Amino acid sequence: MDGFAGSILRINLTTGKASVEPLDPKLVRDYLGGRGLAARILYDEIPAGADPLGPDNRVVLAPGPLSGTLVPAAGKITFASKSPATGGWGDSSMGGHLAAEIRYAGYDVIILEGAAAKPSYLYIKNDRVEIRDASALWGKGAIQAERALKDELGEEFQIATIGQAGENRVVYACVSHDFGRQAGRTGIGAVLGSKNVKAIAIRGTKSIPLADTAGTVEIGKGMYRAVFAAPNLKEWQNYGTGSVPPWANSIGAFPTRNFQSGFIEGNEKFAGEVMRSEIVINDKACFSCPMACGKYSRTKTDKYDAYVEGPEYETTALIGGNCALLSIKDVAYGNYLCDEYGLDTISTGVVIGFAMECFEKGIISEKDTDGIAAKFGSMDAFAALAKKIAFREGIGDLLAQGVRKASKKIGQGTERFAIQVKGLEWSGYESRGAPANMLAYITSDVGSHHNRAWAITTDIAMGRDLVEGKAQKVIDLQHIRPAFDLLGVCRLLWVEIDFDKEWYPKVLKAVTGLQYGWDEINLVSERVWNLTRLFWMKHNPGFGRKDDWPPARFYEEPIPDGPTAGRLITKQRLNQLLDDYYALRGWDTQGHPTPRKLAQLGL
Amino acid sequence: MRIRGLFPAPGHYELHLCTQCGECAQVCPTGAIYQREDGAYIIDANECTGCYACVDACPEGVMYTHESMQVPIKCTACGECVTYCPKKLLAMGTEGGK
Repeated sequence: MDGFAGSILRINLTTGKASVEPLDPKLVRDYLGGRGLAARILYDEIPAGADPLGPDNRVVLAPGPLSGTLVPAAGKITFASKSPATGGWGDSSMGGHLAAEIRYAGYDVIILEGAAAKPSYLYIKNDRVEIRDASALWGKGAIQAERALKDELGEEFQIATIGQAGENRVVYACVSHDFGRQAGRTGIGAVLGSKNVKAIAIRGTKSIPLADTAGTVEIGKGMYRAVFAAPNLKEWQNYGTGSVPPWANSIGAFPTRNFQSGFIEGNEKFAGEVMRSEIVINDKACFSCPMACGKYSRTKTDKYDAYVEGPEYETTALIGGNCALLSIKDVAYGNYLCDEYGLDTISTGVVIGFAMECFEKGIISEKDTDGIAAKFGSMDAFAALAKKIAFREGIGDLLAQGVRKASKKIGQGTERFAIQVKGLEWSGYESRGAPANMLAYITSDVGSHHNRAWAITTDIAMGRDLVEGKAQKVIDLQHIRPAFDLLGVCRLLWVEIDFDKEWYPKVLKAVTGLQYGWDEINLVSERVWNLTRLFWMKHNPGFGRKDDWPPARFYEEPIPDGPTAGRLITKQRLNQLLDDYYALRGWDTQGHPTPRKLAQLGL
Repeated sequence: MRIRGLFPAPGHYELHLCTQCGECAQVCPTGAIYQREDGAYIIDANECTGCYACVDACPEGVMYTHESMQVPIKCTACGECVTYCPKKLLAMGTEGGK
């Protein structure tokens, strides 16, 4: 089977046994790789109702067929699991160099199951697989743990770690790698923590078998030359996602003070040029990437001095806007704290923003926070709360469960401004003035998140108030954007520098021999989308339409100020969006795939 | 070429490139490494015995070995890295330069 090692590495942490299983070629034809293979494996293997933080849950690490090849930005890996944040399907895509290294070690997929009895890390060097003692690493931050393992094992090892938040099973703990890349969402760091896995260290020296070696080299080089010719490459290299905050503010979509608004005064302090001049010290690329959109920073004031990769747009939106920390240095410091603790910056920014609004409204007070004045705009409060969350101290224990559970426990109507869908905190686009984006987030298969469909540009192109015709656009995006996670490449070439996506079928054929055009790739993506829907239904009896629904703030409170002032999306219009969406997907009115649709997809 | 990331601090990369300094040729016991007309040092695979004296001697640490090959891997000054460096940081230099 060209393009694949043909091997699945399964590590049972309970028994300590590692085994290699053949990868079924039919699975590859139906699911390609990455997120697709992960969905099929986890749907089949995790028993219904399994505790996400129990030994029955599994973590899958899945690069794609293009990962590690001579293709630009071929460094993406999917981490997947049953999410402890949502109780449903969880996956998160990560860059860096891990995907390539797993392929060079001779594996297409790694499955972790069971739970180790004591703190452990996984040592993988080609065929040699060991579960090693990690008691000296336990308690270290995610970045520090990576440094310690590199010092011990050598620079050539690629390492994924969790921080204290993962050890303490904060439901939005992330997996960290490459000193600042994360599988941030859906709490897979907590799943690793529950399995007593502090780190995964891997080194590979094998080759990836290619269907057409000369063709892969020729097409790969052509792809690089096409990237270099992109007119906006320089801008993207300079600022990366750091260029986005002023734009998001200008269209009234910048999450502000726990999504009370979509606009914040002073947003220009987050501009890419400001970030570049105040904190950025270097550009940082993932494997084989000519964009190098990662910005490596040093943030320094009288109070702190820290190194951090970022902040990326989402972090600036959720820490800078949502917690109203109006300084790029403070945002970067908040980013550093989250990275070291191993906390997802998106969820952490939403959770702390929620706590700050509760404090502003007098629902919680300094008695509840052990004396922290949890005010919007306070760096001290953000830092103190992040620490409490990571170590689950005091109110941090409540906040570590995410805003859905925290708001249920606090009560007093706080659910209306607990900004989440399905238990996953909303990522960085206020969407009351963006029906397509609203639909994309409420139907996203991991909970409210932008990396399935990011549809706000559709709203701008088609009209901000328009509902009609948006559902089909969202569905198309929900197939094409995650398709890059099937292939194991970064979507940002296509999203950000208008890279011609027709390169991918060509290079996929050269690598694997598979003749898949975008129609076939998108069909795989639709199959995966329906399968993750079935995953939710398998694990959550009664799951359906009610779960594709935003917090009441978004349909009852108009945006108070900024370019989208006065906008909201009424319940009636939300229902219209969902009706259109379900009908076009071939799902019933409850959002369940019909037998006909499943048969059509071979499910 | 060898690129080493210095993270989390000081947060930059250390670059090591073959300067075609010829140390490898000097230590080669069989004379398998010769200098081409353009100044680049090239390994003659037929003469190499795989002793790796050159790998140890390389001052920049940019001669590689791989378990599937007896002959070490060395820069041949083909210029591909210059063509494909996205930041355009690399240029072909003169002998002894970078």
